[in-house]
Amino acid sequence: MEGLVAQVIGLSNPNDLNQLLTALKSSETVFNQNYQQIVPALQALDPAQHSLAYAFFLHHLAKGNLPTPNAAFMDSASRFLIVCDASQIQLAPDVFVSVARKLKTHVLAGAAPCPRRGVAPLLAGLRALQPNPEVLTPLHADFFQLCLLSRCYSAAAPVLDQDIFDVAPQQTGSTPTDLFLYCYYGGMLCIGEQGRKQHARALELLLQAVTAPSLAGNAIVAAAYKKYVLVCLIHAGALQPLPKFTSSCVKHVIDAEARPYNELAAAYAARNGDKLRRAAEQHGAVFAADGNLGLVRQVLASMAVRSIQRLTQTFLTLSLEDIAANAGLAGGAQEAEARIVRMVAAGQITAKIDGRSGMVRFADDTARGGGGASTSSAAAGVSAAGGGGGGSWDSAASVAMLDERMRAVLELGKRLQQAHEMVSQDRAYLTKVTARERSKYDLGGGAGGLGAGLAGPGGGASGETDFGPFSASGAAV
Amino acid sequence: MEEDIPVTDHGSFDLEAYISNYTGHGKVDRLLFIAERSTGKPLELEALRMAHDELKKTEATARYQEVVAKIDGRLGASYTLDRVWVENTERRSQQRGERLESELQGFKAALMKESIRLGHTDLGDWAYGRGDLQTAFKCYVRSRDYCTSSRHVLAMCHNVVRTAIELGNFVHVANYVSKAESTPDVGSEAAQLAQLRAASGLQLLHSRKYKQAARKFCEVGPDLGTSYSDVLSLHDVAALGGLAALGFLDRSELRTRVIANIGFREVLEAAPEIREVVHAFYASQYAVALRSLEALKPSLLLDLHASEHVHALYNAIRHRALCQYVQPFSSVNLAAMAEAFNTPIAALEKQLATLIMDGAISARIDSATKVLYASKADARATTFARVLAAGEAYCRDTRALLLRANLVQHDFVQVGVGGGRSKKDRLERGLYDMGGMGGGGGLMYGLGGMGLGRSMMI
Repeated sequence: MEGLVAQVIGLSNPNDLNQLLTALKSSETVFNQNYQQIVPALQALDPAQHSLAYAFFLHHLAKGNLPTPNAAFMDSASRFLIVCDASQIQLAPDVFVSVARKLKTHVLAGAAPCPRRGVAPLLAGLRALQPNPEVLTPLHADFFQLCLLSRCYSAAAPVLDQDIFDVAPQQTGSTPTDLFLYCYYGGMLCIGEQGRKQHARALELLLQAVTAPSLAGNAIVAAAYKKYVLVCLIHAGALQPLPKFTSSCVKHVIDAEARPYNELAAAYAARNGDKLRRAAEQHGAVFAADGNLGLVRQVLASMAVRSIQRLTQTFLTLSLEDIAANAGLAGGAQEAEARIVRMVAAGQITAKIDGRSGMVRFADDTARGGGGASTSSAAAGVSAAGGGGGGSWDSAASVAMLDERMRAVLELGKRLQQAHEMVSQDRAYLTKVTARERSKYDLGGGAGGLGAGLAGPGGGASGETDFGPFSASGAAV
Repeated sequence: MEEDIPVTDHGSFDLEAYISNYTGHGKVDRLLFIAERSTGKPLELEALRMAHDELKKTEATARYQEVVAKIDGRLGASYTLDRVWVENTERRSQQRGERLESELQGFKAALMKESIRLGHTDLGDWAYGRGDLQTAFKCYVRSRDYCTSSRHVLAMCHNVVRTAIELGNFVHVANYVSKAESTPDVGSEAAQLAQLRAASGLQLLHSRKYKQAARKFCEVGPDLGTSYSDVLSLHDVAALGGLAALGFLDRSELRTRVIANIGFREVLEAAPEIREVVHAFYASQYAVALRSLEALKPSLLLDLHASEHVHALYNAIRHRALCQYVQPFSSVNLAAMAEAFNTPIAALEKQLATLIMDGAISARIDSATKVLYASKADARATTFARVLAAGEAYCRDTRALLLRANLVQHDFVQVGVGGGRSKKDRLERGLYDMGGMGGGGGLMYGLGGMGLGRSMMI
């Protein structure tokens, strides 16, 4: 063991890291035989300087029969995750991830779990593991889970707002399950946080989970879809159909598992308060079992809000009784009054109640952009940015906001272009495309087309479509 | 639509005059329909009596027995079951059927095409006369293979369509009408063309494609005359066409297709009351139009083809009237409007609210003072909002696309316990899947436009 420690200290400079990695990987037996000496050895190492080795030592320490929770392990692992050197631990992502996950287990174990303790270390670990902020790591899901359990929504916000574009399984060792869990927990965090913008993001994440390529239905997808339905109803007022590239086995799972949710959505689409309430009650047990009762309650509440919002677009003044009757409120005028007061306070409608005559006067809010019922997140953001009121589009703030959005769009466009170029230069893709084109045009073509096919990649993106007929004529000659 | 509302007022309904428009099966069907709709009223017995008299002239013994059972001795001794007639007719008819059958066999053996066609048609006619519609339909359809000239095709189609309408099988009606319309000589006989259009209109009406039905009916010319009296009278075409046009054609189309259409104007002469309604409606005298429509309702509810659609048509007409009434005003006093529409204010308010929520009228109701204010849509604000929403959707879709592309690139696919297919297979699939995301690309151009639009607006 001492030899190993000495080796670590000797090789922990950037040039010899690979050699060290091989040494550490091959010394499995050393760790197993000298399990008792791992803790003292850790004392001799510095988590920042010898990050790679530290990860291995911690990994083997946690692998043994360490009782959970173990305070000493938690301390050293937390410190390690926070101070570790990114370039070192990225050499052994699997070991690093396993240490972080062990920390999570320890944090969550025992009689008094303290998930909050793991939030900061995991965030630091996640950042260290990411080659750049757009890459998914296996730790995303674990980090989100801890944030959820400790209700540290604010800690997760920066990670949540960052879009993930790359999964890079070679660099971080992430698996499809990590992606599903990232989307699912991320969606749940967004739901937990209040505010419209977050709902939109939650929908995006949940939809990503549902539509991710999959050859087998899994429970995460089913759970994500259930939440997707409910959030969709709350946020958009209607269930948006799944995109057509959703894999068929996911559709099967959804059909089988989420029938109560689809029924709820159908009742919502019928704009029938009674029917919705009945659907919610009928499947109450299912919703409770899935842990979605709170969301279902929000769906019911949003129905009333939506119907009152619709009324504001139909009427200028309306008596409280009529509102209650139109919106299907069971509590009559009192409930209508209470609800309107609440909605006005929340800024969902603008209205004045005449207490004496029981009349409600709705202010004209069509000028406020989007006009209530189906306000998209963008429009909501604008009316906030523009300071509300009529003509909010004339302000400098809204121009700046538009500008910023345009820039975001252009940015994405550029990225798309890059991706397109990358694909069009990809050798495997080009051979496949030329092969397909050839089989389309040249049914009898044999080896003659092959030479032409190899010349293909130089042609680039625009060449690939013109290419087929060429090869066909070549073969014919 | 179930007719829950009982037909209350038959005082003005002149059965004699109404039914004299029809002959053959159409007459009996209508009489029986009326009898069914007015159970327990004097009209029922009158209709049954006429049906009985009519059936006695035919060979439809089964139908006859049905009617006698319905009369149930309520019309005295002369309307009880006439066994002798039934047996005689039955026997005669049976013999004729057998003769036709054996003749047809003979023709078939001799491979005489024209005779086989005639044999099938005769057999169909015989079954049709017997009231055996299914058999008649089969026979007519069988004659199809032996049609040599376009006249034969037209005759066959005519028979099939008539039988199919009686059977209520409107899919066949549509098929054979289009078949007939595509035969070369279809325009040579005006009456036949009118019949086909009427049948097609009827089919569209029953499949609740009211707008198309209105257009079809409006194409029917006065040449129809009484030639289709076993299915539809000219009056029916005028009534159904007029109502559907009122409810489902917009103002300009109503003008070109109904009011300024010389052919259909003549058809409308057959139903002066409908003509009055159409003209009153077009002249924006909604109270008059709606009142006369109400007066027409009982007799329409007794019509075999119209009754099922009266409610839908009336609702559509009413909605259209409301929308057209409101259109030119910036504010409307609901009390005045209620008077014009002959409706209580509360009901009117409710109807208007439904129309506003459906987006048919752009206005808001001041319920306290009972005034409707037209709301001018802020095109600028809505455009901004829509552009932003489009941008948002584009960003979202593109992000999803990029991530998905990356997932496919890394073969990042959730595989089941069974192992799934090979990597190559999945890659192939992934590429196709990406094709599905192509929609995002089109949006990009839309956003380029957004930049332009913005600079123009500011």
